[in-house]
Amino acid sequence: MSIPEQAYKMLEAVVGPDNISQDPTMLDVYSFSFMAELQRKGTGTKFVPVSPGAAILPSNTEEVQGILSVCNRFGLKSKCHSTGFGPWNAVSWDDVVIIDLRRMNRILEIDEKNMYVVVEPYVTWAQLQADTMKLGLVAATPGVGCQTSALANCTSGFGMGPYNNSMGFHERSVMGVEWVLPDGSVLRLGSLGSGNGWFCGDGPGPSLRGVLRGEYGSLGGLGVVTRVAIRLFDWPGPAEMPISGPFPYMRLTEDALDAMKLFLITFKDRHQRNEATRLIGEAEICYQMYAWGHGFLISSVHELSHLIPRKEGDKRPSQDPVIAMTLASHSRAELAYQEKVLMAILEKTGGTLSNYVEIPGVKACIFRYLTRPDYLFTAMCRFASGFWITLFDVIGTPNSLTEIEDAAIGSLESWEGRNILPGCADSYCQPMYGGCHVGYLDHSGGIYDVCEAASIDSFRNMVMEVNRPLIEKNLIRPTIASNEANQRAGKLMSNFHIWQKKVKAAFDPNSVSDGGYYIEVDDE
Amino acid sequence: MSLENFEKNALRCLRCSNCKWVPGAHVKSWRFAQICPSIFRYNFHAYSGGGRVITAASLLLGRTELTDEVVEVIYKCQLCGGCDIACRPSMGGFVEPLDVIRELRIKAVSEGFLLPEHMMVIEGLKNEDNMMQEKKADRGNWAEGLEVKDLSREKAEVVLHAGCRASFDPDLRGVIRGAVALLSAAGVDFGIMGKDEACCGGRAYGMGYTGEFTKYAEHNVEAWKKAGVGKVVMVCSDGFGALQNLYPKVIGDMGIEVVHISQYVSELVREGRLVFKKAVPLKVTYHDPCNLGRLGEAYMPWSGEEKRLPGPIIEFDPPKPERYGVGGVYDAPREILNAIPGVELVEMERIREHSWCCGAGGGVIDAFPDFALSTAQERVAEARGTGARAIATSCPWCVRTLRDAVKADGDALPVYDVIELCVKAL
Repeated sequence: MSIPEQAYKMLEAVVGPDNISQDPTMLDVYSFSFMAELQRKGTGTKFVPVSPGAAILPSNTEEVQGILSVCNRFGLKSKCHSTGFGPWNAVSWDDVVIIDLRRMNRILEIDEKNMYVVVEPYVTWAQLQADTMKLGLVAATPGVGCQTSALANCTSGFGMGPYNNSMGFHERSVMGVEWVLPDGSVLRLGSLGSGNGWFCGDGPGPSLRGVLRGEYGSLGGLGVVTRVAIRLFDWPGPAEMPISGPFPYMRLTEDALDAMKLFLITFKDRHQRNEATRLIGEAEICYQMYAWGHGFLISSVHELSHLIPRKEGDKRPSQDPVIAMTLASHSRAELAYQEKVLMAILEKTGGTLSNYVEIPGVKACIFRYLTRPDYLFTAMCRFASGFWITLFDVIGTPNSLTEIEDAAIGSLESWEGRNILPGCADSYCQPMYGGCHVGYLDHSGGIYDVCEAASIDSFRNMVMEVNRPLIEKNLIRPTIASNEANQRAGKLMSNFHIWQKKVKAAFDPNSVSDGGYYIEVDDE
Repeated sequence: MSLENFEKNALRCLRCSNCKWVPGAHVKSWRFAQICPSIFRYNFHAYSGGGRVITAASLLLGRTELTDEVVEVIYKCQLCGGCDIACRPSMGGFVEPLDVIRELRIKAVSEGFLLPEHMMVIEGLKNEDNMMQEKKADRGNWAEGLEVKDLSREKAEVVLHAGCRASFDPDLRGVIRGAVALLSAAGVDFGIMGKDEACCGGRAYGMGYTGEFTKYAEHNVEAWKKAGVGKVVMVCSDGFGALQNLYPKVIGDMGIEVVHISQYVSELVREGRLVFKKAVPLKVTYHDPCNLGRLGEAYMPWSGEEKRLPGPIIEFDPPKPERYGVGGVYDAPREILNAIPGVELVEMERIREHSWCCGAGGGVIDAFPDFALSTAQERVAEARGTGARAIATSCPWCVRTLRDAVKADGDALPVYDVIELCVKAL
């Protein structure tokens, strides 16, 4: 399995010999992908059953163009990724040239006045935040982890987070974009496209965010985005993260938080929680928010994981749904007002303040998750080193999401102890956005042993068993984020796959970008 | 143990890339957010801690084989432990990248994939008992003119172990002679092994030569016991890390206390046995050596198995020790610096458990000196950013590489071992 020698030499001429490799083991490392063991036609491990033809590291837009030009000339496919944490980062076919964007890692500009930051693909959310927080600014960071790529999340992938409630979904944060199309030409979107800088994603200049990413992103299947301006928002907190101490002794330095207040609130049921979030959204007092099932909390927070039942007779944990949220304001009077409003809402809806935050480390953990998500997401893996899958992967109103939660809970409870953490059937999480009018439903209590085929099979069966009735009732859509899945789901959902194919055909006529996790044009 | 024992570890890597970065909550700037020198320089994913874990998986599953290129990837790593510390909050004891990388090297050596540069160093070790390719007979020359007990003929409770680097590097004489001066000033009953001192073997282990390591570990313990030693004071952090972790792991409990010179001096200062009378007006920043800090925790043995609970939750029975680097030596050097009149300590961004490696470890300084240098240059750049007028550290290897980096930069920023500053203040 290899690419033509002449193609390799030309690629080498583009980036230099130190930045391209065909060593089998080096390439095999790129074949290892998060959750790949769940692929039905996979190897049963995180290695996908195909291997790249070469791995290449460009350092700038011109080199990316050069790479794609070579791929076009020789009929090679290419697939780009940044930090690479996702089930869609490996190649889909043998001999695809994998473009690792690690060398493109600069923050190019922070425009304080117009509140945006221009980044290259390998700038992580942690890096972006560290530099913008010093200026009293922050971007909507996703819950997947601050070690991931800001550009990829905004322009090409998917992921929700605690800031979405007050700052909108990540797609809304995309302003000017520099996009290298599969044919190697450069398209600049928004105000950038008319030579007016980065400040606007919708014009004057081509407004193609929907084409570029849609809801889920093209996941590497439509060329390479090389720069993006991401909207920044007010950050009323301290210039540095107010966290001291190493893991597992991280503590919140509360003195630094005079402009923010953290709350962990429990409710008796999801409907009470929804009513509270609706009122909180309408009052426009919330800065960061995550609505959680109790199971999410105890499975993700290191200091609470002892509450998961481990043997017969262990107490079943509370199933009370939870909200973690912050209020924030530069004005003490406004902060006090926000808190007064919140307390009134809680009194009306039956919410109570949780005493979990009195446990050392819990408050710091929750603040970290809301502000700069780090280990909470991946900490769930410490149980079996499998992971959760987005069981539902759906956006909806809080009431519609609660309808799904209610419909699924019985089935999830039946899987507790098999592929759902005991006591964690309700491990739902809903990052809210749009003033709490909309949310995204995720689940995080599902685990499996990545080293045992039977455990992986069982997990797959669980996902099907839980999801099938929900799909049949039109409560959730079928899974997407692969060529085959999109074509299946599209038939049930306004034939979106046909539109995706039209986009793919128009923007990638030679099929140079690996659309295995996006869409491919075929003879259907 | 062998690499095969780590197959599950390798398969459990999440591919999350946490291993490349300072933990997110502690990132203070774009510029100094990274923790892994290897991928910082070489960029392909294989060069990260996770990348090497995946390499192990690939080899173990028979998907690929060791090649010269892969071996280079395995050895272009200082074994600094940054990836390990960054991985553990997520994965606990499930992945353990540092252990996997060490086993990869042991496998490489056992299968004959030997780096020529390391072969020369090991040959020198075998012939002359040191890692510097110098003559054994010259090892004690640094002590010329000093009145100090020779433990090859005398006995003492405490042995001051100079280490290979400090023994043979003329530029570092001030460090080891300074250690003698401090202990003498404090009235400590101590001695040195002089020309009979042998390498601790730690670097040999890191290069994958476990047999050589074991030989030296056993020899050293025997020699110390013969000399009546109850406490070993290590000047070298590499050596300290070896004695703290590798000796107990490989040969068991030595029955001898191990302390680093910074811990000992800090204790002497607290007890009032060492008093700094002269001011040293200097703004310094302190570099935490990897093997003193995050890898300087006492060895925590574990022998157990995985236990499956309903879930399936997997736990270790007994629970694996939580190694997050918090038990390393961070405060002692800082206490010393704060005790020296006139010294103002300012901190870099990547400190303590998240310190950026100096570049010397894991055999890199021998096989890939340009990589060692560039790693050190990155650290010096970070130090300059603090406005400090000097760098202080607690390891001769760190002093060496950082001084070389300053020189290569065409700069004149002084790099001191903390011991040298203490001597100035006596």
